[in-house]
Amino acid sequence: MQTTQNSTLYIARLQREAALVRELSAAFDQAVAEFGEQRLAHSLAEEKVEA
Amino acid sequence: MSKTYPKKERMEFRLITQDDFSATLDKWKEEAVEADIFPNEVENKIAWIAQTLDAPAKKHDFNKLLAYGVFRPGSNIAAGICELVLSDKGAKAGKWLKMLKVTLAPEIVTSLENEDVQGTHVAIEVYKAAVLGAFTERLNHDADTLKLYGRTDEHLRFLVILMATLDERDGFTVKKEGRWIVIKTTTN
Repeated sequence: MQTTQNSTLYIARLQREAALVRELSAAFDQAVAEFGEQRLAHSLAEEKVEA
Repeated sequence: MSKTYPKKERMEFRLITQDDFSATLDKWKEEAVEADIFPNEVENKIAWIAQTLDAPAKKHDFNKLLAYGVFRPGSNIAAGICELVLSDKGAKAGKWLKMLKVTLAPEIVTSLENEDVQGTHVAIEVYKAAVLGAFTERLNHDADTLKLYGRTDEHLRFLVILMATLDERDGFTVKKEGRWIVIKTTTN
């Protein structure tokens, strides 16, 4: 009984976590669309030192 | 230099192993030479990873650097390297997983400089995999908060927009603390 309850809680937690990751992913895509893909990519790249 | 990247790859996010580090270092140095960048410069940028391999951080090792990589499927050459730190702020504030920096592979940086559209997509996919990966990874370190650092003003502007788009959704509380965006879930 206890094991079943623990498994149910564990599965519920995994499902909740998966839903949060989906939300974060969607929010990220929305933020990129608003900010600009190229603008974000350039902000991630650091200056290079030419040889 | 024009490279072809598969679009919308599903990147993997995981701790960097010794094999990953060696393969990545060799490849990144090669890419640096091709792009007229000093190979030593690239080596210096990721040299800190070696110390994490000599003394790997444990699940609850606080204030120690954690080296994670973003990899294309099946590859042990990182497309991006992520610097993470776990902090314990006591019972009230909880544990934080902080993402300090994401370093892109020289090849990706070069393609960005050449205004390569697919290179731009890859850079975004690497960063997205890092953010989502770090968010998921916080559970493995029993952390309840993810903090993302805005390294430049432009990067921070993006994080502020991300904060706003995330704030509209259920399950999160988000706030800005200096150059950090703090993401906490409300359902834990």
